[in-house]
Amino acid sequence: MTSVQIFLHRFYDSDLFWKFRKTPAAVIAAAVLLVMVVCAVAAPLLAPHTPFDPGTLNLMDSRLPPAWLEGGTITYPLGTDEQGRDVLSTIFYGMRISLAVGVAAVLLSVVIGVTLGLIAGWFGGWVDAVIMRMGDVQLSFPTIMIAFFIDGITKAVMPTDLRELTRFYVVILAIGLADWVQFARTVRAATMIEKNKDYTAAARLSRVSTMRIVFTHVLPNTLGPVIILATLGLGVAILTEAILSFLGLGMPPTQPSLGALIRVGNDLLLSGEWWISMFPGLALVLLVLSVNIFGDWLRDALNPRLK
Amino acid sequence: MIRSLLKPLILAASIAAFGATADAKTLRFAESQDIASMDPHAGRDDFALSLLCNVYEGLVRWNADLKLEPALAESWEIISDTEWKFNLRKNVKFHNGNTFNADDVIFSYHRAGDPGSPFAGLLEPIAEITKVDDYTVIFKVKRKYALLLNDFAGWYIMDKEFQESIGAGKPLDLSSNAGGAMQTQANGTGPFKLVERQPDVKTVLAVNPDWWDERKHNLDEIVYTPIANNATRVAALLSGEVDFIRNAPPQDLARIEGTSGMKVMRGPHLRTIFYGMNQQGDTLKGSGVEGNPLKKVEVRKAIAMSIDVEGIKRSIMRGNSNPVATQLAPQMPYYDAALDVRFPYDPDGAKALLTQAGYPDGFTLPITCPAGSFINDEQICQATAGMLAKIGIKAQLNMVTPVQYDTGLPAGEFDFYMLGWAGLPTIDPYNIFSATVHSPTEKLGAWNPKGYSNARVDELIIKIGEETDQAKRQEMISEVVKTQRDEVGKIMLHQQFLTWGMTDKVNAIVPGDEYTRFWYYTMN
Amino acid sequence: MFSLILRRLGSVLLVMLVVAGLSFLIFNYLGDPVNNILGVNATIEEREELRRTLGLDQPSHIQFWHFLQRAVAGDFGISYRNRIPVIELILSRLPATVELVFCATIVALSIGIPMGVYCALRPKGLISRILQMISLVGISIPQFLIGMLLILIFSVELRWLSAFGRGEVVQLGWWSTGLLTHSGRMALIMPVITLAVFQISMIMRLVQGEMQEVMRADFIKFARARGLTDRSVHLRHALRNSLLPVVTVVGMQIGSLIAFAIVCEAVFQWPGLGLLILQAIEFADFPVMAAYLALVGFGFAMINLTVDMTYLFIDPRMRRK
Repeated sequence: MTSVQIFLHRFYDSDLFWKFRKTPAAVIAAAVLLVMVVCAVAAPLLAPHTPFDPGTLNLMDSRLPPAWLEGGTITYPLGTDEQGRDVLSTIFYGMRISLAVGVAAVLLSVVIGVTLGLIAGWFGGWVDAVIMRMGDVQLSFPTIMIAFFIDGITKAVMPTDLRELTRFYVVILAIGLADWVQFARTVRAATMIEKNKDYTAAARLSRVSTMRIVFTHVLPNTLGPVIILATLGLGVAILTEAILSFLGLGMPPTQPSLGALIRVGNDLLLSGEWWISMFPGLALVLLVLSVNIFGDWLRDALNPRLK
Repeated sequence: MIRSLLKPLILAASIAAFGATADAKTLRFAESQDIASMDPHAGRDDFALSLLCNVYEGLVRWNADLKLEPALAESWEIISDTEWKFNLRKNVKFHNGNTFNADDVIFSYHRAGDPGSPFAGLLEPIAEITKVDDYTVIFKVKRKYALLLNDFAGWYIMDKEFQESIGAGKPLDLSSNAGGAMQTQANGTGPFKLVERQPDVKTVLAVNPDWWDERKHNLDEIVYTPIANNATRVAALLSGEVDFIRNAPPQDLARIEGTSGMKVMRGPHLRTIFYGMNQQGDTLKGSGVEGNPLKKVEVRKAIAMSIDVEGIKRSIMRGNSNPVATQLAPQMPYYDAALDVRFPYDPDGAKALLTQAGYPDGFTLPITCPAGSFINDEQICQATAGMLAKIGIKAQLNMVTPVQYDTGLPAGEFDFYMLGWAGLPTIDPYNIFSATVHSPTEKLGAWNPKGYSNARVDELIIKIGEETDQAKRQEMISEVVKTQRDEVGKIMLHQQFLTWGMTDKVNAIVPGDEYTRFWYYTMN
Repeated sequence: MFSLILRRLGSVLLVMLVVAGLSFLIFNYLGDPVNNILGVNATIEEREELRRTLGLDQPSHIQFWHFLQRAVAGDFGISYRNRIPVIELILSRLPATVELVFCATIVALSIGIPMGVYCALRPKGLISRILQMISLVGISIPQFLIGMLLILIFSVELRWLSAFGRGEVVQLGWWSTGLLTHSGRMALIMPVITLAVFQISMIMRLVQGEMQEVMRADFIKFARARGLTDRSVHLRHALRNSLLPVVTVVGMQIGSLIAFAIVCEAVFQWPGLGLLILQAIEFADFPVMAAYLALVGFGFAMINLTVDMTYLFIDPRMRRK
């Protein structure tokens, strides 16, 4: 049995699953999250309309209220926006983009952070010093500022007509590059501990290659904290994207995330068409909240220090 | 914890409304941005001039009906084709008490007209200025020129002694601190004088009791606050913190009108909105087809016919626009109603035209759209994309910030773009034509890169600038308008409406050039 | 230790150089300020002329070199938009942001710490569970949503609080404060709440976590064994020992608060640094953007340095490292 299998085994078979069932908040959060992820991933199948195919829109249907209000219709359960797009469908697609950006950004930070953390922790010396100093520098700038910076750089090197098409990846890059340090620090600390343990020393003596030791012995032991950090980081990443979009630096209105939907709806807040901004806002809060509740629970359950 | 939070709120409620302390004759005014400085020569920036017209005055000015009337010049006469004599008004005092005379006019001409000043272009037709006596000056122009008075309405007179004493003898000196002096100081002859200014926070004007003209307004003070966020600005009006906002967003008008004690004053804007496009290039980048479809008049006409401008008016502008067929708004001088006939909205006909032009399957059209330059510009572009999709043209929307837009457009970076033009401060078709219709050259056509180009039209535009006879001008202007319309040089959308939100206490005028001429305002 | 400080200061300077360099690279593509300065009616000739005057026709690296030369002497140039020296502009906006961040931090500490202590002492109680839920919501709501809702309720519907600005401010030398006037204090309420919600939740969670851990430590058991009262054990021993990491994190967070203030300032038209940088981006006001990023970077680096130094003083073991 490999270490990964051992880890998975521990993950399912241990008292973790039992704890999960005993925590109603975590179960509810996980259920909500599951529903939202399904809606987002299967948006093209589940959404009642295709809001971002301009050919299917009709300006006649614009600004309809939700179905239960006067003037609303069941065709558009949560109403429509100024372009005649179904709000429910825009939320599905918006969630898809918010989630995709969040997950991809966190994965990026994990890959960068874990790699640099392993290198720093394993090799130590000046390699460690350089990497950790880079981390210090990065930490002296808040996430938004770094995202803003990367956004600017990509604008600088990219021709105008490509900017819109590449927005999605730019936002991922901007958020992902801003948040690797915490992963690097955690993995580095764990690696340093594992490195000095007897089994690693034994493995080294038996001339197992460095790579193999790192991947089969050190890495799996750092996974727990990384998973916790990544789950909590997902909430932060989704929020950061929303803030960037709100400031006009994130996703464009042609492929809006939840944050971009709220930005557009913000201008309509006083006009009485509250549903255009409030439902995406609600969806965003619900999404981030369930991620955070789940992440919180995971931390409590996996962190032996708090047991 | 909750108690400690609520306490200040309850306190705030108990002292009730904010306006209570403000004087009844104080007009509190909010706008989306602050003016760059109090220097009327620092930029040909209609936004700044639209406020500074209350502090400074030109030799002539626009009245409430946008007709020229004497201001610092009492009268003028045309001595020859190239010589204009102006008789200056006597007994006019600047705000600091200095007397206005010919030296100030000559100083202001050099300050604004010398090379390096942003106004050099406006005053370019002038060859020379001579002082006859303290209250008479003669302007010599380089060539016959029709619009001298129009241009003078946007060129304001400053006080020679004052400007020299504060070291701001030149506008726009970014290499030293000289521009900074004009950030918080102003000395004009206008109906209001500057009493306090914190850039980006607030600017306070007080009535000028020694104004030369008869006082029709009853304002004692104007407090101007920039509020960038649309929703916050409207909220400030609705909560009674400001009395007046210019350009209330169309979506909030119903709310403002539905609030007791609030109203919206509307007026037609001189600005018309249209799409300009690349008609010169041999290829259209990203179109996915050979050649440049926009070069073909059928394609341009098809696009024009595919746009449901009434639908845009209803859904996006909420009734606050007027579809137009030509670049001249109905309120613009020399407007020709006979030419203002749009191509019909006809998607099927448009599709047929497209097929006829050799594009039965359409093509991809990159549309560049400013986010925040014109009223609901982003939404209009998105709606356009939807309408184009119905005739088989796939729009590739590209939203850019106003500053990138203002950079990229004149540089010719965009192939299909939204633009609006009002012809300010000249208020004459010549201004519109020379900037957006004339083929691009060193001096003209700066906002028509790669765009519409017709040698006959170019020739007419030059003549329109020189001709002073009204009938002849009308004839030439109509020809330019008709030619461009028939060749679909621009795809016209609509004329914007001015929608100014205010409390019932305020009586304002809403002129088509968007200037706030506070000397016509009263408050109950 | 002295050499350590010097080394850190050296890296701070390096960071600022890199930041300023990168910002220059970006700004050249963000847009051309010439259009904004001259207005739309300017001819192509006039544009070129001004571009020459401002040195914008020079290659980026030359522009950067000129910028550095002047920056070393404390001159960050003249703002294209406001036409006054950038350093003066930044100093005039600094008080608004500092006051906002300061008040938000005070509010966050004075609400977050008691909540955290309570939850740590009675982790299974109903109130604790509710507080924990609230704090989770607090870190899940984006600020702009809070700000929008506050304006909708307290300005538009109830007409209690000002939707924009700082109210009346009093000048104390070059510092301007809104704390001394009634309208100034009223104007602070909504922006401070907007900014503090996230901090309150974060501090609460931090205090709770730290304190629960400290409570398991041996010295707490000894304290109890000595027969000290619960109150004394909780407040004098447990809370005190769990506050150090909290203060550190709060110190570090002040940096992010200045960044997060951008959103808050945009919603409430708060005339601070955040609004300044947003307007500068809109106007392509390069000197302001470059100076802002360099100075903010410097500020954050200094905060981090101070935090590290404090650690050195408090914990002598660190000094040997």
